[in-house]
Amino acid sequence: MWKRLLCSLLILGSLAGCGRGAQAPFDREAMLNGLVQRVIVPVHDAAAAEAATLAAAAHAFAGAPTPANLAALQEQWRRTALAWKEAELYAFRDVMILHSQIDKWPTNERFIEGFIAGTERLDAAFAADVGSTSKGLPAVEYLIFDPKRPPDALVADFTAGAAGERRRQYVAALAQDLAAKTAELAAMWAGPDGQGAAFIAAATPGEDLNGSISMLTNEMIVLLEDIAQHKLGDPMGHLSFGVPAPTFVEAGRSGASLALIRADLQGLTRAFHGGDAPDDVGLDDYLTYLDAEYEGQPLAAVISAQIDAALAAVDAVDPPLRVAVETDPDAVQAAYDAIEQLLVLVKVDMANHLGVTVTFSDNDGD
Amino acid sequence: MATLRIPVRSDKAEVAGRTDALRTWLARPADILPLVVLRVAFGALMLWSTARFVARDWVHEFYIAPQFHFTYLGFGWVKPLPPAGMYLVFGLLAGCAVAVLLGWRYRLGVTLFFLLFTYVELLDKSYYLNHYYFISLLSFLLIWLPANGAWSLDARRQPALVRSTVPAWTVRALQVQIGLVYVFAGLAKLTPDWLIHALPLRIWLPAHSDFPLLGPLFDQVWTAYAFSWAGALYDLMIPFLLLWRPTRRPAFAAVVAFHVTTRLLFPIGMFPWIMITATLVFFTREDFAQALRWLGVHHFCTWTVAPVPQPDQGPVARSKRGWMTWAVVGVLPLFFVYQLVMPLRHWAYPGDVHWTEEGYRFAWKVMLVEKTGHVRFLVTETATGRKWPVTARTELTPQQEKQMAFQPDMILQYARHLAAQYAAAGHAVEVRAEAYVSLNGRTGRLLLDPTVNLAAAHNDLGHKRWILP
Repeated sequence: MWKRLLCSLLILGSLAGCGRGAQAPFDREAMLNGLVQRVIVPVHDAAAAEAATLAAAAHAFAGAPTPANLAALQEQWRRTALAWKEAELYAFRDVMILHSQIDKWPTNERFIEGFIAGTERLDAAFAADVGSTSKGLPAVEYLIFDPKRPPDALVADFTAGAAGERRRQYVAALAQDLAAKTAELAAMWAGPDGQGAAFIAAATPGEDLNGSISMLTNEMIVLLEDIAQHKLGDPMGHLSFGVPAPTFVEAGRSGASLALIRADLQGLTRAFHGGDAPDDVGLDDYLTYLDAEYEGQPLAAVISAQIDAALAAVDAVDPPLRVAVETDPDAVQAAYDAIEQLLVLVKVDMANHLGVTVTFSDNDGD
Repeated sequence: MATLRIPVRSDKAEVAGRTDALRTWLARPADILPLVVLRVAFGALMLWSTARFVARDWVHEFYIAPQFHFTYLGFGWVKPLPPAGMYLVFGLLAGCAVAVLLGWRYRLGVTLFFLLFTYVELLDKSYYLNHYYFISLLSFLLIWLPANGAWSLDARRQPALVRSTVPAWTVRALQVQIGLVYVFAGLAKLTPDWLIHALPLRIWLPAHSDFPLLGPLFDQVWTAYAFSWAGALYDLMIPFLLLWRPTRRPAFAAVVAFHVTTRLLFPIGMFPWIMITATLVFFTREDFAQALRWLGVHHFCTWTVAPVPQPDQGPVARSKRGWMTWAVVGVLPLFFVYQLVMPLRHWAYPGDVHWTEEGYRFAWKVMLVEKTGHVRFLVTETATGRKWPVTARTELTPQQEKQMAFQPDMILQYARHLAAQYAAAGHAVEVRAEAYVSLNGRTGRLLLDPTVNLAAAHNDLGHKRWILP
């Protein structure tokens, strides 16, 4: 604080007595506060609530492994994953570990089968201790989905003797841990001294490296790069010399890949607009305040339109993605292109107008 | 016409006379105090700076963790050492800084400091900063100056080294060095973006609108104009204001105010402290004495300021000048000519240097651009015609990726690296780059011709024709 004041005094002399412009200042703290209250806290609460229901469904299935209970568990997994993806964007440094405990992809199938074949007690404490690649949403998905086998055969895995029982125990333990971790994360955001307060307080970019607007922009970029490069690009063959590689899709077993990408984009939309209501103040309004333009158009409107275009392009792909990368590569390519275009708008144009790049890295600028 | 027919001999005599006058002026004894103050302060700052670098884990983050390094043209052979070696380098840098600070085996210490520091800077251009370049130049210059003639362990050990005066050129050389930085930084600001559009300050300042007291001003466009014009005038004038006695003290106050302000507003690390310290070399003994008295340090003054310059040391110094003669006749003229050429070389390239970055480094172009970019490499397998994009995010660190995204020579380096990697895996490929860049708030557009196969492009000092205007 003292150094800010010192600076103020040092340059006050040269600035005093000059006139004032007409524009009312933009209250960034109010924008960030609104974002936390209207978007961040609710999406985390929603994910935690779905995960709690998932834990109950897993418990019910473990008690009575029937095809009907499996279907209910699968449906609840979808709902939980969709709710979670709206929160995936907010993987800030202090919560990154929880994020990976909730959703680390790809999961390690060999480890999971090893635990089930082993002798350790598979309870909530075990699930809490186990590494991120053996738990969370992808691990639960691995256990309860298999597109190659009919539901009865899958249920049989959970009923076949001692191994079946251990499989039931593990899925219930994982779901319980997932509920605990999402609840912990939601509490971190909602608490009065928690992540939300810290996020709002870090409002000044340049003052320290974690200026909230810079963090938020950075996470938007990271999410879009993740979708383009990994969620779409890897299965499209970008890692395999141009030959499609369907095994690289995220959530390939459940076939939810495209729906999850859609939820990611919806989360991003809400972060950008600061809420769902038209008069909610968000980054779009801040860009407009800064007179940010793209070829003469308001940049906020251009980004908004491109998010819609990306959503439409994702919707135009016939699910599941693991099939579409081979049967309809043009549609997948169109979705990829639309997301790349959105990425350029956010990473190049939006970041430039916000002037957040000076705070992107730890190194000094000059 | 008659005036042109002046006899040649008198011309020569006049030149000889002037040369003599210059030589006398350069060699006349000057107080050693500014030199030793700078030496001590430089050593202390470099020690702090090195410790800070290590404490922030930047040795690991910048030089050990990355799998790929963007080396400078002609310096591809400069490679990072294994982790222990890199930490040893930084340990030695700290040791050299202490040696400079204490004046203990000063010549060796500052030479080694220059070599090690420059080695580290040459490892990767992603981390290029003008003030690192300045440190390299300053430490090189210090090699040739007798800054251990007072306040040093060397002088205590070898009384022959003790001197209260030095040839004037030694202090002048430092002043010229600092003046060059400021004046070129000022000239670099004489652009339409800086003066007419107040860019990029117009983008950067509003982010500080919640700054105490002054915050609301940063939301006003005229504030950006005031800062831009004041900044340009400051850079262009400050060396001269520091030289001239009547303006020296207000000028130093301006130096402190300017650099502290930039430090508070922008993450520019050590740069402000280094520049503030460097300008001390414009101070005379009386200036230091008055400054210390003003700070209430009277007893300190007695021994700090007591020694009176002894002009009779001049002939003694001249009689055993050796390396200093070499410095003044051989090395330093070349050193300064190099520094005059480097910042101007961008005029040899077509286009706007802020966009093309051809001749942008080593030219004191400080805080002139807000630049963001995104680059995607499009790989085509020659045998099959199959195409796929590659992003550099997996292999490069965020800092490297961010810097590469708007710098054509770095994009070229990485494209060639990708081609070599695929070739090593048995796939002959062509690599094209789709790079979008936004400069100072302008709509992002393509930086490079996306049809050019960069794997076959040359990496040299020539103009890169595939940079789009």
